[in-house]
Amino acid sequence: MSLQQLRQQGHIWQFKQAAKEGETPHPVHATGFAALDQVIGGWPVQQVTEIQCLPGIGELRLLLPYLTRQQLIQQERWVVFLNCPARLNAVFFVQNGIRLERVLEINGSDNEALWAAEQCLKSGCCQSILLWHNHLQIAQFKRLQLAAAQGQTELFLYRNAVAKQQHLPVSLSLALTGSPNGVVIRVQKKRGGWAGQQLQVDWSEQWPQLCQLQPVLPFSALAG
Amino acid sequence: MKDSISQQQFACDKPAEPQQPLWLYLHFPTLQLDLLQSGQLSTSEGEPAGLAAAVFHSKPLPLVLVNEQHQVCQANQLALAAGINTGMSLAQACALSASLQVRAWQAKLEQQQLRQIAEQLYEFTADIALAPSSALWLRLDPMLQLYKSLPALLQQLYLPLDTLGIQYQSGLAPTAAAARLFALNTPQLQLTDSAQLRQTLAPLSIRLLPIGAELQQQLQRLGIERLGQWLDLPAAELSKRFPKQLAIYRQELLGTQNPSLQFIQPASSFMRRLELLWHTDQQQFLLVPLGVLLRQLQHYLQKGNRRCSTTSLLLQIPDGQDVQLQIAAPQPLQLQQHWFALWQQKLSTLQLTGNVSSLTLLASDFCQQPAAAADLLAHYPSNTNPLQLLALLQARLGDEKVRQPGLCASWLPHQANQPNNSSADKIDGKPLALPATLRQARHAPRPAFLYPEPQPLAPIHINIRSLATNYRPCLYQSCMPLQLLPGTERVCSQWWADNDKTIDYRIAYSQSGQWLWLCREAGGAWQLQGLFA
Repeated sequence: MSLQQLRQQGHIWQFKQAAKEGETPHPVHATGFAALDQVIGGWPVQQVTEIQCLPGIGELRLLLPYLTRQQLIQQERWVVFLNCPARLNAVFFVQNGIRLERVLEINGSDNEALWAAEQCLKSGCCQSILLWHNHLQIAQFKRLQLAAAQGQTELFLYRNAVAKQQHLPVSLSLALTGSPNGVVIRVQKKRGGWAGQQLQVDWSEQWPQLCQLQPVLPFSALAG
Repeated sequence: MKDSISQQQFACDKPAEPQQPLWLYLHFPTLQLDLLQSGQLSTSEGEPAGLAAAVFHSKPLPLVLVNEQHQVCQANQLALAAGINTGMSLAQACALSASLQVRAWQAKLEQQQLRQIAEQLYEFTADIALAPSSALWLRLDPMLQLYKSLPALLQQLYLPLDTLGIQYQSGLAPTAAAARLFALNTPQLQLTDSAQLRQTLAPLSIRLLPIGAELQQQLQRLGIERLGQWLDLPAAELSKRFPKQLAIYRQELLGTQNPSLQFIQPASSFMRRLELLWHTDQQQFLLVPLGVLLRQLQHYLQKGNRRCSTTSLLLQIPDGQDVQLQIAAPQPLQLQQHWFALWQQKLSTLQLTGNVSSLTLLASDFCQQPAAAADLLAHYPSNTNPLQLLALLQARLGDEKVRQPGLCASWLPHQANQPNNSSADKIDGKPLALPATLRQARHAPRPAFLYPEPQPLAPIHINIRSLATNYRPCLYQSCMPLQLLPGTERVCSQWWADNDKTIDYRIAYSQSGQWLWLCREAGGAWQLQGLFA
């Protein structure tokens, strides 16, 4: 593949594409975490954001402030969870101030999930779509990205960090690893910005019950 | 002065002269055949072009319907042109045309179709009675005032018949019995003046009377050939020599006695059946005839300014199990294109096991609800509204795959999390709040994802998917060993409940950084209940 082709397909970002002074940078929604906002600016508007992580390390908590805020602004629009690792727990969402009336949970085969994702994105009546999908092809991804722009919706794509996967031309890609006090975020790709930064989001104040590892009890203690 | 005003008013209020009774008799000689041919045609936009349309728009073929005695009872134009006549035997007909299509004539189906037509015409006049041998009686005089003139009313009545391509013979007369005679004998005659009735009937042959061969023979033996001669017989003599039935018929024919007819009442539900000319096991071919049925539904709904939220489709498969499908839309719909979009999705996942011979569309749950108002100044593109999207997803994926999380008042976390089977009233109702039982647990940590059933704690390299087939693979290669966070939460269900439970919950932290929610029933092993995502 030649350099020209790579550039045309948007795999290469050049410094001249960076927002010049006075120009408005790519619009973003605030994440609600000041440290994260400083590094990535915010969640890109009407784009696909990739989040690579294991399930259960705080990948949803990272979106909570954003989802709650957007629900207040866009009252009629759905938040759609597609193929999430287990059933959504309604109590958790109510505890965190998310209105259940506008939450949809869809579980189906991979193809059904992609079809549903495209319909939801295109319809223009969803504020955000959270899709768990491990084997997305570039062509499928591009369809989703176009649909997201058409429907003015944000798509968050959760992928398994363990699986060997091809790189997708997303506008923002984050890799999450667990940490006892929050989550460690590594920026893998950021369109119009630098990759490679690493930061820790600390939520020991917001969710103290999860962050009190001292004193540590080994699992074997339970057997007794 | 005052008196003159009241006199004027009185003059205005004076009722118009009573209308003479006026009856229309419509006879459909080839009803089943016409509907069989017209059902396959699509005449409006919004229906799939391509293969399905190509098949149904292919060159028309000679088509006949045969009765149980294997005699041709209805034949289309092409078959007639090939020299096939009604009453001919099937073998003879097949010998005349190599490409002849043959279908069985079904008396019950024809009766159903006749009723459907009557219900369509009910829109224009309410006095409709079913006549024997696929015909209808319509009383027109009460509606003439509304339509101003007879041609205007007739035009309205004939329009739906012409649209469907149904052939008909009509007769118009001041009495129902006379209208029937005219329809069968002189269809172009429109007699509205009852004074001329006797005179017009006089030259007609006595053979037209629906009185049975025996009575006709009896009349002929007396030298009575024309109706005029029979009408001139004195009533006393007639009743002396002939059965009472003939005298009654004469009174009905002349309008001195009202006919005893069974007027129809339109059904409160919508049901339309369409026979397929082409039996097919390809679901995409069903879309064209389904579009025809849905257009009829739209017309039916628009007439009453109604919407409906449930439609079901019955696919008849003669050599297999019939298929019944249902779509319950979260918001009531009216337009054909909306229902069609849903059915397109529903049928796209259907696997047919045999050839479909007919489609029946039923609609229920009618309401007068007006269409949802759209926001002109919305910030977001809204080609669909949220409930339309939900309907589309449910049509393709089914209700069980598209869920809304919901709450239920229960102490046990997995019972408190009950899917809210999405229906419009729940979605548009009050915001869901925490029930009292859960309010106390407001600050207790709860995971974002719950397994409906506790999962065994997977050892290394076990794929949870094999255990809970409904869910995505969830790899725990590195989740062992676990560290436990302090504090155990014990939840007891009500002791009076059938299977009261005591469950302990703990939060565990895996080496790879996952927060797991473990549970243990009294005496049992620790299991995985949820994930703190």
